[in-house]
Amino acid sequence: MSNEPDCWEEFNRKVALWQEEDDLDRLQMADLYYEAFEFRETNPELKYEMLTRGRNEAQRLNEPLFVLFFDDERLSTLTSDLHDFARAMPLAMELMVRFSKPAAAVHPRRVSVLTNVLYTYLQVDPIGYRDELERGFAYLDSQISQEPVSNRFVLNYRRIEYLAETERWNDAYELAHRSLDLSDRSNNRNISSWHGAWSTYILCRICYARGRLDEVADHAEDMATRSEKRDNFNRTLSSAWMWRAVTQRAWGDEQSASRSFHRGLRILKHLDSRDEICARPMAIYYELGNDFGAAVGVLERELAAVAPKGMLHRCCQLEIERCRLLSRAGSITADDFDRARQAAGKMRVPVWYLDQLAKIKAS
Amino acid sequence: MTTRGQFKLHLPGLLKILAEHLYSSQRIGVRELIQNSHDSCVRRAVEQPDDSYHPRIDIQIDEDARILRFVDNGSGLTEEEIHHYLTVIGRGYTRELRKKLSVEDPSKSQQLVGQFGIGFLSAFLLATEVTVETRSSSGPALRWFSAGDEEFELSPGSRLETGTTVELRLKSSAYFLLREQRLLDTVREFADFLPIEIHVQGMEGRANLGSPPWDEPDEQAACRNYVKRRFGEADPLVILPLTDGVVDLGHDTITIPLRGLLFVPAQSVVSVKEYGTVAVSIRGMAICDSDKDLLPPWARFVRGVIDCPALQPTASREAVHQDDTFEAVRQIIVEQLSDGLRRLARWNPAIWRKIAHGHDDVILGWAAKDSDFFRMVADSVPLRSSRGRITLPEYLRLSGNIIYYTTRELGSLQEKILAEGRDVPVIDASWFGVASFIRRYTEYYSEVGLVQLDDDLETLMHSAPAEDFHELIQLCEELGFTAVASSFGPIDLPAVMTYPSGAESARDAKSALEQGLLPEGFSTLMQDFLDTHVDQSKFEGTLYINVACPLIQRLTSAELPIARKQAALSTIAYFAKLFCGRMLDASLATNDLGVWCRSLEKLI
Repeated sequence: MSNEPDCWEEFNRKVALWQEEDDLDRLQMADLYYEAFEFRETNPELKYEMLTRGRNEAQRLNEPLFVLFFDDERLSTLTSDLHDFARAMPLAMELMVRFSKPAAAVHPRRVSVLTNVLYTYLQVDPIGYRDELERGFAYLDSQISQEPVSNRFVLNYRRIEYLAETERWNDAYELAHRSLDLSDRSNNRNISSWHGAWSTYILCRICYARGRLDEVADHAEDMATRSEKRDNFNRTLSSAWMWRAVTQRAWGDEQSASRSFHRGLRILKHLDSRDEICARPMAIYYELGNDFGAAVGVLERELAAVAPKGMLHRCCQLEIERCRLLSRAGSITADDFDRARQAAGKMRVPVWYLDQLAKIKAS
Repeated sequence: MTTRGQFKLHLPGLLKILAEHLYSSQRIGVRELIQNSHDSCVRRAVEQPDDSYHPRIDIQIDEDARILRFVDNGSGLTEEEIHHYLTVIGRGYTRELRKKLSVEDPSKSQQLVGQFGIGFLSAFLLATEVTVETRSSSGPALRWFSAGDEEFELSPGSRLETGTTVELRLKSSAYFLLREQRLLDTVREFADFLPIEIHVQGMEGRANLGSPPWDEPDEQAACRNYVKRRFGEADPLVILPLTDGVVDLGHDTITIPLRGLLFVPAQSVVSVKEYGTVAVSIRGMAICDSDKDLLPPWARFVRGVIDCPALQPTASREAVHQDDTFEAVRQIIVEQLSDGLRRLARWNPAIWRKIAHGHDDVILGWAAKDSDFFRMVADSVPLRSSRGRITLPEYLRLSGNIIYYTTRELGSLQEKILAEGRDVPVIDASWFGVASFIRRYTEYYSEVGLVQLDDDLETLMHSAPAEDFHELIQLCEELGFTAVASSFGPIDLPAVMTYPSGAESARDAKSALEQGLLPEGFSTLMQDFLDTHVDQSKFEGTLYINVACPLIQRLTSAELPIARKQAALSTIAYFAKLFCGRMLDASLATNDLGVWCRSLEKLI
């Protein structure tokens, strides 16, 4: 493992220096990061614009390390907040090259950029780029400390997502638990609540896929507790309510389920990307109530949101899931299968998706 | 076996929590003590009506002894009241008086500001020792003393007049209140609107205003003065008054009592964090300085102050509960603000332009996000263009319903010149939020076209028959340029050079791959990206020869030696390459300048 420089050490050191020197221009530039962060959940496009401005300011003030810092944050906004991988892809590749130059190779954000490159390909085609992703994850694993530092959590999280997308649920489950334990070991309250909340977010999905409703309920509870501890944790908070609704409905407590579901909806109302964040539990919730029309509606809204964002893999998953639901509802047509096949045709390994489709057709 | 138990209190611990952790700032202690004095004066006015009574609070600083005193001429306390109210946490006389008055004299009950009976604890936020000298009209003077533990002392006092003096021996962390100006600012921050006279350190004039500006006869002037006094904003662009609002409940309507003002400061600074907040008062007592949830998210260029007795404060009274009433107040504010801005844009466009100019970052950024706000400002917000600031309807009249824009801050001169050559201005979208705003505009008005000139210079050109210019194109290719014959304005521009978007990155990526700089796994992804996403055939750039240019026409038709033609074309091509400014570094540019000079030499 290399000596991983902390993401924030240099940032904070420079800010302290500028405070001493009363360098208002540079302090305002650095402040743009914090101000942009405020819009993470409600207006990520504005966050992106503000970070772009931060980058331009850093360029004007001849602060090359801050140019890279803001560029990495822009990339993270595209991937983590806007989920726009069509726009992220060229920026990710550009930054990968810029961060590989000798002057930037030791920049603390280098591993973050590389992680985002993997995340982008993982959203585009995790099956088709399996070898590259595996090698990339192995490389980053050797570069990042095993201690509870931000880069470790983000890498783990992306790897868990990769394992989930490739349906290796047991591996995903184990790594997610390790990551959750790691977040609880951190003395940094921000790290433990932030990364803890996201670990539980994905654990709900994994546990549902493994058929462990009791664990889904526990993690939803945990996610809500962690999310409520901080401001602007509304994505995970809404998701927690939605998963609660799922478990409550599955256990026959309709009244609580409906209350939880609407509570989640109320939080979602104020958020950007509202058609994506909780789409999975929402669709499950409707399906459990045999409301297939509403469940398909959720998928179609998500499909409309993710299709222009280069998320080819998710589009395929949604098309297949749509076929499954329509099939259960008894209203599937040949056109629906065609749509799914066309989506699969855009992937490097279409057979992975076509097999799933064939199973639905056979059933 | 089931057993039952009862919760017990650990008083010193509870006192410490309430006194030290309930409030986030020590300045709140000043507010709470002023409020206690105020309510005591209201009580005296209600219970002992006397036309000659002038309620008053004096705050005195004894800097040497590190003591702060709050002296009021209110009703004072009897011994029984000290035992019953002052020393019982959670019970206050104010609440009981309010209950009584709400039936007997509701307008008087509205004057009381205390609520929870815990405000006095805040004295221990500021002080290590608290002494209360009090005298009620019906009892002897009393002296109460506490050092913040679970015991207190009560003894005969020496006060001669009816009223109460609270004396605080300050903690070192509260010494800042010994500075007169700081204390004065704190009093104004929290108690400006309270009608009671407050005097600081014997100053002749009252420290607080005594009433909100919207209650003054000349409301507009008073509001302007208040904005200057409170927010230091000498010249706000506009001040919008807020009034009671009616909320439709479906089956019924309710009126929410609300007064206040919103204003737009002259301009935003680089930061956009400062604004978008409202100072909240309840019955004249300031609760919080900057609530950010009462204004809509897009209103980051607005500040304001409101007083709304319907809002419910939290126990520390530093925030208000976000309940249904809060939502209703928010809705009223959004409606009145939106309405005010719409009217302004319509009836006072000059002011609106100033607002849009001073706050364009914030306005554009939120308009791209919020549909209602977008509709409100879409046609009236001016954007930077190659012909100065211009609104989109004005722009579209000039451009033939197409928005031409560039996103590069530097290096877009070529695009702008070509656009002007077609008599079309170019929107400068390198600035914050502009690109997303104009994208949204074209989504909203589907008949409006959108051309990003950074990647699409060909839109401004007309194709020309290649066969007519075969010789020139051939010569350019011999010089190493891929050339295309086109016609564009201005006609004095003989050629332009263009590169596809991302050309620089792709060049660097190839170089990084060749040097083996990328880790395993990542290099394969990069190669795949270059193969599948990038048209590498265009990376050397395309030279567009302007056949409308007289110089090019002369070169085409004139009978000149080939070497001379080649030299002339070389100067034109390298000029275009250097003028374009892309894909260059110092060494490449130096090299190109050398070729350019040598070509000129040949011509001379």
